[in-house]
Amino acid sequence: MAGKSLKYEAPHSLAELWSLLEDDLENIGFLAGGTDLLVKLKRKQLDLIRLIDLKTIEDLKGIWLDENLRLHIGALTTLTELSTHPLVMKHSPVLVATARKMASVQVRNRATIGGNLCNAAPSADLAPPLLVLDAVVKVVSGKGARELALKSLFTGPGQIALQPGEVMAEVIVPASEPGTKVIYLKQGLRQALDIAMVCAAVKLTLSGDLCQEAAIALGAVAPTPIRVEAAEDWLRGRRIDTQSIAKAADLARLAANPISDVRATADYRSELVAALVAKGIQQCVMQASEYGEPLPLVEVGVSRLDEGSDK
Amino acid sequence: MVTTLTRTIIGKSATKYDAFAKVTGEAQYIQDLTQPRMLWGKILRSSLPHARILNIDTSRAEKLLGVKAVLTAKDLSGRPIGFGNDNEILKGTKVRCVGDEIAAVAAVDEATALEAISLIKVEYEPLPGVFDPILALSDSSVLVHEGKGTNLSMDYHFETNIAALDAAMEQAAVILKDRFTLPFVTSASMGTHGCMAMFRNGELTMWTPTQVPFLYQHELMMALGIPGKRIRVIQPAIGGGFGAKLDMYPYEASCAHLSMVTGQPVKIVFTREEEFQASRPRQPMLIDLVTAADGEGHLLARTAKVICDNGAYNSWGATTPFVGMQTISSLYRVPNIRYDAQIVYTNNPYSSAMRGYGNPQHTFAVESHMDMLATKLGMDPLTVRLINANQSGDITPQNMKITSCAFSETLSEAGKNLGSLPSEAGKLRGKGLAGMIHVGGGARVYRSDGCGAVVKIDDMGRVVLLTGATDIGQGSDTVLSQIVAEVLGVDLKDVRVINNDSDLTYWDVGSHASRTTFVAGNAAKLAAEEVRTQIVNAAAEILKVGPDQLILKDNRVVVTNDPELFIELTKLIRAMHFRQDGKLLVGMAFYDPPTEMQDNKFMGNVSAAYSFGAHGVEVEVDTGTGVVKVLQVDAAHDVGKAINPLGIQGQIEGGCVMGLGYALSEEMKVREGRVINANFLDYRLLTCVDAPEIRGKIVESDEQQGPFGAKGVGEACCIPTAAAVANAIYAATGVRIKELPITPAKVLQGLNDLRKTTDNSEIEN
Amino acid sequence: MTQISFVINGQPWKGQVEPNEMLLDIIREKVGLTGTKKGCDSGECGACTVILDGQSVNSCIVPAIEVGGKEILTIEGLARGQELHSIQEAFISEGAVQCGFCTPGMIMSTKALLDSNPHPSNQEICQGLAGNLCRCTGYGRIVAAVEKAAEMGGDDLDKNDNR
Repeated sequence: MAGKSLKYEAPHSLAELWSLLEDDLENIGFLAGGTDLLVKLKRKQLDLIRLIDLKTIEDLKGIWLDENLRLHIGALTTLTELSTHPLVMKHSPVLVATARKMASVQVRNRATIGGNLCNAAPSADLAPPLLVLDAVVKVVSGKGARELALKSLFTGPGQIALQPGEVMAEVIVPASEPGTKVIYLKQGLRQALDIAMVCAAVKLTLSGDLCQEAAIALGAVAPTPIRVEAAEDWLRGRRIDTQSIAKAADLARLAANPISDVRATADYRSELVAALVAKGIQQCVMQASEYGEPLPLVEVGVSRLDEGSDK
Repeated sequence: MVTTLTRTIIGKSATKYDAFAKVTGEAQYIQDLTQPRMLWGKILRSSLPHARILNIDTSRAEKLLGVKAVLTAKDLSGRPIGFGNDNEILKGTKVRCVGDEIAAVAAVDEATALEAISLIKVEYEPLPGVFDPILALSDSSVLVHEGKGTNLSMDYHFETNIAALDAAMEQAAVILKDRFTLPFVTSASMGTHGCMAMFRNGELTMWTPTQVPFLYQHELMMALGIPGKRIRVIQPAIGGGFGAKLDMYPYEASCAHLSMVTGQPVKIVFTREEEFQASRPRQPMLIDLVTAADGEGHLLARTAKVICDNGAYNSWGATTPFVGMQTISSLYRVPNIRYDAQIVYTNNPYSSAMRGYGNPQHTFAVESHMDMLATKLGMDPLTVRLINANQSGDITPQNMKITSCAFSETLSEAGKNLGSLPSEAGKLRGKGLAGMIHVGGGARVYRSDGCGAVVKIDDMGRVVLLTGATDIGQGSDTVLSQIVAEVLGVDLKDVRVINNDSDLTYWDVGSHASRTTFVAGNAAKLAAEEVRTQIVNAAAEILKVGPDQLILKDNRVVVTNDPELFIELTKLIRAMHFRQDGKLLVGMAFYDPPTEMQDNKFMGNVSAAYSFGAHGVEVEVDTGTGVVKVLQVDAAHDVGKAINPLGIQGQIEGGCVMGLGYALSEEMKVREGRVINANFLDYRLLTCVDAPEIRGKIVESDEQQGPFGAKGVGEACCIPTAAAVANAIYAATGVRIKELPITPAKVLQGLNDLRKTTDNSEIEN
Repeated sequence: MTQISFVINGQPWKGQVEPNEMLLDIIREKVGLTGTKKGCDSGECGACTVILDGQSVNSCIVPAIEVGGKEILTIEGLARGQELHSIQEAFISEGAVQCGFCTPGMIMSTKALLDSNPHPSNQEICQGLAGNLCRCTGYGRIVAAVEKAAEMGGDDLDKNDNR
């Protein structure tokens, strides 16, 4: 691993954190769950001198609803906490379903929402659903706090728009309009553990089969997770039918810019984009027509087609 | 041969012999062993696939505090090692694959050893590498072993009468010709490789999770140049083998040298990345198969041309065509055969013989063709197999003698409801079938296929079986204890099995070829029967009846016709022991099956029995994404006799899942000789969620030569699965895929191609 | 070096750890309990699963320095003297052990699963064990063992024993 010279610090407040960062911002790793960072350290893909543990800062934890019904999720919320918190289950159940598709129980007990987003893999599972939800992140530093739209956070593969000395404090999810359905679909090769070959989130606000609002986001098909405005614009105001779905799927495919890597080829990823976006739209419509509000936990956000086999 | 009339232990499910130690965490694997004053060893491995070594500078490593020894090739004799005598313990002049061993270090702890490795500077002159076996054959400008003048390492050829073969081809109503492409996959045992060496006072003790302790002992002797009688091999609990632990690896000889030089015990353990890059995978193959049949579906001829990517050195993988040939000649009745295989050197990782030993690759080809034949003739896939199925009494073109055989029954069991199945919108479902043949009564690939066993019973009733047979997790220890307990009429828990110390146990060629139940089982049975004979003779005198009127059961020797007349076993043994001219009860046997080494034309009955089986796989294909979900597997296996049904069920389930991984998700991606997915995230073993319901069906054909009728199943259960998956996908979608793994991308491509063909023909019409 | 202390299998442990040492290595080398295995050292196989403050984690990616004041349960902490935990008994009786290398991690994941969900469905069992790879068994006998343990669990008197 990183040599014995690695230094570990565990501040117990944001104020303590800022004082640790006063003199030196070089080669610092912010440690959340460590499920990405520690593996990179072991594989010598990272050169760190200081490891600053954020888990001991209570201000970075917690989940609450503000008076505008925006859901605030502390950046150090673990994926297990995310997937079992009553407020998330009620107000943003797609995040519950998404978290449950990530890695394993053991990893979810440690990995955090902030870590997943700041690690900024193009395939980060939480990015597409949060992007379609128009999530905002709150960033803090010794100089104060700012909010930025999640879509501005990602600047490249593994790169985020945080300055040295800044730390993500919260993910804030705005309230959804009534009649809104959100689906997250993840396509791996296996039914568990895999990094997505392609992942997609679709959010539709429907009135019957008329699409009032649409948001579509893709992961693992571009240097960062992306929204697909062209497909969204196409769907907005249109009736959802086979043709409009096919066209939206195709627009999404054209917007994607996938590469070939160890997990999949660019061509196959393109096909998957279209398939997943089409499925996502179909499932939003199915949910809207079959279930009404509120949606039972197990069904929401889980692709029918991706459910584990009933043995 | 003595038979007991009622079986009390054989055929009843038994819990695994060492399960207690494993569920409590007490079982000691190589990772867990230590010795006083033990040092940690590490190997410096080549990062280049092909290069000359210009210089190795170990000076900084040697000076590092805590480093006790640094070895390079100059410190060793340079004696060639390995299966093909084409390898070296440490490479001094040339590296031929990524992972090649260049230096070995021993230090006071693991971190220091790792640091020392990083301080060794190697100057390379990179050489062009060859990574494609076809190129390696055709272009001799890049030679992996210059001295050989060619990249062709070995050549196999088998044929029946060529004139008859040609005539059969002429007459054939159907001739199929296809290329099948099989990739690199790897054993990926959860327990990585490792060894611990202690050389003291002229004696070497090696702790190693080898599958073949006595062959290993011999290989060490050859590699180290020390007398074999000075070597003791001890096996800790083995965390999985699957063929990767058949070799003595070069690093193990280095470990021994490190101990020799330092005078202290030295342990080396592989990291997971090392396990992927530097352990022995399954051999990739290109199989050009031709299958010819008459209009009724009878097989007339089969020819195969196989090119095997051997990698940089010869290991057991270089002999996989020996087994593959048996698939081509003997899977189903085919009168005319021609087989050619070439083992080709490349700068890729070099293969051992992973579970199935070449059979999974060849069965994929043969069984894909059986379905394609059925389609061509408009026949049902089960029928076309049944009319060609091997039967008891057959002698195959290689003179393999089929004794017990329930092949047809396994095919029928697994082959119910084949073809396309009803499915919901956006999905296509289908079920496909594939069968297999494999050695089930040992495999004479070496001068001896024997196993030695000794059974002793003391006057307190404690029975010990000392056997050369290695348990690699498959449960041979349990089966052997059942056999001994049955023969002696004692409780299963009173039988101890010692199988892991070459000083205590008796020669066995090793755990491979699914031979342990059959060969070690027969050895244990014979040894126990020797003890039984002694017991029965002594009891006969005391009870005043003929020895043939006595049976051993419930820890007693009982008169068959008068069950009230008996003597307690321990009482009898005490009577035999504690007296003038007393006796200890020990029985010994060395069972070597009545088989033949194949001659230079590959003719000969290599095994005393053959195992058969069939898998019927049901899949659901998503037509939008190409993703294949396996819904269930019917796996029927002819095991002769199920000694431990629970153990067999576990083997079948495990084998099927490994076979499904081969079919759908596993591929070791090697680019310019480097494994680029050397981790569990991207080398995809199926998880609990992926594993479908496996419905194992045990079929018993009662093999006369087998212990209580049993034959092997350890490899059989992973051999036909991939072909069954390919056939199921065809049944569901009409897409025929001839290369593994069958990824969603390939399925989707196939579906798209089919749509285009259909669209085109609709346009044309 | 930092001094930390924690409770492992109900017993206090105190010792020195470096920031770059993971919990797995401390358990195996300093505490001396080798039942927890290193399968990949990257959090990808589950062989190193232990229960940390009631949650299953891959101990190979938990910095030891973080566990001061916490409670750890390893495979060695399940049996009470000679008496095995019902999960261990079920793994034996259902044939869920072959080479056994994945077994300690698998059992700890099972314990974590049954502690939070005493009667899991087949699908919930598979999801709960998704992070534990097994190369030998194909998972069939393991799932059967978890079901058996769940059945037996009602009679287990250990709910107050913190096992």
